[in-house]
Amino acid sequence: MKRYIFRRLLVSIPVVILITIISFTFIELAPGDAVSAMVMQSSSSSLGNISKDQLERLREMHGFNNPAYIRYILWLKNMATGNFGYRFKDRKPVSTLLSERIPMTLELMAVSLLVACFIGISLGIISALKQNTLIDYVLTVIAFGGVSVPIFFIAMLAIFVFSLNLDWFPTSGARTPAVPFTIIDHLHHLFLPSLVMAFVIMSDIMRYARASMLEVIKEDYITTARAKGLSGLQLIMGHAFRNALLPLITIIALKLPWIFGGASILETVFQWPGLGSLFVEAAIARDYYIIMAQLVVYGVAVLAAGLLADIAYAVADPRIRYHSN
Amino acid sequence: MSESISSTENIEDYHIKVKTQGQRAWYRFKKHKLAVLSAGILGLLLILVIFAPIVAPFHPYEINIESGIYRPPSLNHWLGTDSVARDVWSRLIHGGRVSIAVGVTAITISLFIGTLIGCIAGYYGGLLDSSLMRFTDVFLSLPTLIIVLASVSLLGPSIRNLILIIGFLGWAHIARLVRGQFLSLREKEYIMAAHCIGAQDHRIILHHLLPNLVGPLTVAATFGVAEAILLEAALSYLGLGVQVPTPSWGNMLEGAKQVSILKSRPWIWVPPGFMIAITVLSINIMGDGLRDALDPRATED
Repeated sequence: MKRYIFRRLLVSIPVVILITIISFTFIELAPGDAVSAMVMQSSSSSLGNISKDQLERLREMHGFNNPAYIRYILWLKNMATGNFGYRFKDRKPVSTLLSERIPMTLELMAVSLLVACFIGISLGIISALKQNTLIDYVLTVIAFGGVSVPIFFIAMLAIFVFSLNLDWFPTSGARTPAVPFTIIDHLHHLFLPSLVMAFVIMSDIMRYARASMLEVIKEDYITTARAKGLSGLQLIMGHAFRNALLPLITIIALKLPWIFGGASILETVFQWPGLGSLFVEAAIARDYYIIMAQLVVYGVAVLAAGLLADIAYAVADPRIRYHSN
Repeated sequence: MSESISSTENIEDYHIKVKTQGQRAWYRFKKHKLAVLSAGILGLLLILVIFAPIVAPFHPYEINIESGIYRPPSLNHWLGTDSVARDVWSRLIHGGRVSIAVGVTAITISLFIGTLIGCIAGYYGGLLDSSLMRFTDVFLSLPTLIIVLASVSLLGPSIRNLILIIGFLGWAHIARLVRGQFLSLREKEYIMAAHCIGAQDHRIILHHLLPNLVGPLTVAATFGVAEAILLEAALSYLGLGVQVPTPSWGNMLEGAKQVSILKSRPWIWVPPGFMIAITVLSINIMGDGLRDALDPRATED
C-alpha cells in the first residue's frame, strides 16, 4: 500500500508540472500583457496616462522582456517560495488571499459533501429498493431537477424564500459585519449556501447510488442471502450496501472538478469569501496572478482527490491489493 | 427479431412484423412517458423561440419609456418591464434564441472534434491511441467552468468566444465514447471483410464504423446541449457571457444580483431562471429516454 501511494505520488509529479505549464501558457496567450493590465488597474488616479517609454521600463523591471521559458522558471521558483504574485487592485499577496480563502471553501465543500453523501446515498438506496413506485418517480424527478436547474437560480430562490421573506438566514457573507466573530453567527451564515450546494451534489449522488444499488441487488450473492432468510435492513446493510458504495467513491472524486465549478458560482451569489468567489472576481478583473495561481491550486486539488479516491477504494475493497510488481 | 418461423404459412405475418431500427427505437421511446412529455415541451419551446420576432410583442431592445421601468406584469407587458423599460416577455423569447443557439452550436463543435479524435485513436490504436487518450484524460479532469471562466477572462466576453470555448472544452467524453466503440467494432468480421475487398480506411470509418455510433452520439449530444446551456447561463449571469443589450436567459438573471430586485421584483429574474430550468430538465429527461430507446442491446417487449 505504502509503495503504491509512493508510486502514485511519483507519477503525479509530471502531471503537476504539466498543470503549471498549461496555466502559464494560458496567460501567455492572453492579448496584452500583465504590465498593461496592472497599470490600468492600479493607477486609476494619479498615474492615469503613462508613456510608452515608462511602460517599457516597467516591463523590463518586472522581467517581462525575458524569454518565456525563463519567466516560467522564475514563476515556478517564486511559487516554490510561496510568492504567487499579488492582486492588482490592492497589491495584497496572492498567497495571503489563498490562505484566507482556502479554509472557507474547504469548510463549505466538506459540510455540503458530507450532507449530500449521507442523504443522497440513503435516498438512492430507497429509490432502488422501491423501484418503479411513486417514491422512486418523485425522487428521480427531484434528482433530475437538482442537476438541471442552474445552481445560481436555486441559490436565488433559497435567498428569496428563506432570507428575504422568512428572514431565517442572512443573505450573504460568512459573518455579520462589525460584530465580534462568534461561531454561532458563522454557522448561521454557512447554513443556506451549504444547503443549496448539498442539494445539487445530492441529486447527482442519488442517481449513481440508485443505479449502483440496482446493479448489486441483481447479484447471485444477494439471492443467496435472501434464500438463507435475510431480509430488510440486514440484507441491505450487511450484504448489498458495501458493494454498492464502492463505485460511488470514484464517482464522487471524479465529480470534484464539477463541484469546484458549482462552488465558484454559489460563493459568488452568497458572497461567501472562498476560493470560488475570488476566482470569479479575478476572472472579471483579469487579475492574472490570481488566475494563474488558482489554476494550479485547482489542478493539484483534482489530482489529490483522484489519489485519495484510489486509496479509499483500496481500503474499502479488500479484493484490491496493489502489488509492487 | 428473435421469433423463429415455425411454418411456411406464417411467413406473411412475419414480414408484416418486421420493423426498422428507427421504428423500434421510436416504439421504445414512446413508452417513456416523461421523455415524450419533455420532447413535447421542447418542441413548443423551439417553435416559440424560432418564431420569436413574430411572437414577441416588442423588439427586445426597445425602450418603452411611456411604460416606465420595473413595471410589474400587466396586459400590455405580460412579464413587466426591466431596468431600462424593455419588455421582459419579448426579451425572454429572444433570449431563448441566443441561449439555445449557443448550446447547439457549441455542441456541434465538440461533436466534430470528439468524433475526429475518437475515430483516429480507436481506428489506428497503438501509440497514437495512447497519446491521444492521455490528452483526452487531461481534458476530462479539467474543472470545465473554471477553465471557461479563465478563457473568457483572457479572450474577452462575446457570443463567438463563448461558443468556441464551450465547444473546444466539451469534446473529451465524446472522443472517449467513439474510441471505445471503435476498438470493439474494428475487430468484427464485417470490418475484416471490408478490408479484404480493399476498402480504404476513410471508407471503413465513414461507411462501416460511424453509422453504428449515431445512437450513442445523439444521446451524448443531447446531454451536451443541456450542459452547454447551463454553462452559457452561468457565464452570462456572472457578466462574462452574452453582453447586453443582446438578451440571453443567463444575462437576464444578472439584474437579480441586487437584493432589491431579488426581493421585490421577481418578474425580472424568475421567468429566465424558470426557462433555463424547464429547458435543461426537458433535454435531460428526453436524453434519458433516448438513451434507453437507442440502445441496440435493449430488447423489445
